[in-house]
Amino acid sequence: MRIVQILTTLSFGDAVSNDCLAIDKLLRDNGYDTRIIVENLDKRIPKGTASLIRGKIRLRDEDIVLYHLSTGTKLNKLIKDIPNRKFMIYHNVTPAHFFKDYNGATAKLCAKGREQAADLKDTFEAVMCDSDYNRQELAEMGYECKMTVRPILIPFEDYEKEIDHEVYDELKSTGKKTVIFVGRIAPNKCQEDIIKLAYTYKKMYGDGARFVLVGSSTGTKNYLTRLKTYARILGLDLESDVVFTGQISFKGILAHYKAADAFVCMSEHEGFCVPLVEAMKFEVPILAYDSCAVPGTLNGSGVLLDKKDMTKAAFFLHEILEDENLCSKLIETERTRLADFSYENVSRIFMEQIKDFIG
Amino acid sequence: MTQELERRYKAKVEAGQIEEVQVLPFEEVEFFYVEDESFVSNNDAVQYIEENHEVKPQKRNLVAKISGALFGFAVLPILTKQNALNFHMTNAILELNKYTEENDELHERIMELKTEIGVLSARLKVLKREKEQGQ
Repeated sequence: MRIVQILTTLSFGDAVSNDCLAIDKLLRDNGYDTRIIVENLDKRIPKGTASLIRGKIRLRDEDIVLYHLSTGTKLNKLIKDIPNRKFMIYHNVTPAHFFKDYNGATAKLCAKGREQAADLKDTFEAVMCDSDYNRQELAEMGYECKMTVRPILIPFEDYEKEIDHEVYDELKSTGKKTVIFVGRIAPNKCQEDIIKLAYTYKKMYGDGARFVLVGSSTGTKNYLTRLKTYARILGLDLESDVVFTGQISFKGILAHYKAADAFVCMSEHEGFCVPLVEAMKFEVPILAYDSCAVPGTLNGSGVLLDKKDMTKAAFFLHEILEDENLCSKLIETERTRLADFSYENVSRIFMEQIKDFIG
Repeated sequence: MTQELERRYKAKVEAGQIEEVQVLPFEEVEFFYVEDESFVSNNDAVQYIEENHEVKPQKRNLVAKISGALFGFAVLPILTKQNALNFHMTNAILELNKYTEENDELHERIMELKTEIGVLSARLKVLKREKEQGQ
């Protein structure tokens, strides 16, 4: 018997690919024969890690399929007709309305993905969800199979790697507090609210903070243009007040976490939100909007904003940045929560669930 | 922690130490939509076109050769005229393309300037609003 993971794209650095690779390693460590089959494969992935689908998914009768769903793809149709035992890992699909003003192709893909996810409701024996939010979403789509919640497997050893010292020194040389958000520039992540916060903070407390938005804008250049225009209209400087880094190296991302004084998340759609856990790992205090999977991932750690009241958000942020005692307590809550995401803990949960699934 | 901060905030608001800051809504920001083709496939059909065709000589009998020659004499002047016309047409298309490129560049520049004017007038509104609210 082999456990075959099937997903649309295996790449470097994204949460779904990391999860897939970590699951593959974990299963092999536990004595299972495994395979990864993908539609698109990043050339940087070492040869032999995964095989590409050429027309048809080739499986043995006894293979057990673990299907990762995170977007609209023809795989969502192909998977339905596979006669093997099938289980799904649901990472969520961003609702299309977020993209409709900025990228028609992405909006269509997202709409298709959600439609296909609903269409697959009777396809799997059981589903593993990254968060309870994802589980609830599937329940609303009509899924009646067994559904469990298991956090994403995060390769924490990667975060011990060398940081980009040049980037770190540059961030520390500004004389300002560094407030970061890490995640691609995308309308569902509501970076405009971070710009609003930067403006409000500046009005209330002066020039003491620099807001750095770390992330690529591939496929969202219209949104990026609008964000930059917004910042300029508000009189914010795109070097000293709000910074868009664009796509940067992993070392560069580590440098931002290392240099950050606070992590702010205003996202309105996340299936899990790995950057929150990364911020916990780097002991960066978190201020986040109470929405989607975010409260579940924080689970009492960090600070939650009940509504997007920027005056209140600026006050909270200022307290976090200036009150060392509060900041230490906050980091302590995050340290406790981080333990739940340890490799040992999540891999134990995963193995228990997968054994229960396959019998 | 959230409750502690809520308590502090409430106390500050009640003491009149915090005033709400008004922010221009993001929805009021206009932008010029550009086609974002990030999901368009990179596959190029050109790579599947075979360019090296083998040319085979044709063997024709006398009747076919005479018919061909007569046809050639009748058609040749028309073809010559057609070739001349094609030549002029190609020149005209090249000229048109040149103007189209210039036109696109000018259009892009106009869009940039329009954006700039939009940013400046919106900035002016924000500054006026800030002045009125004493921010």
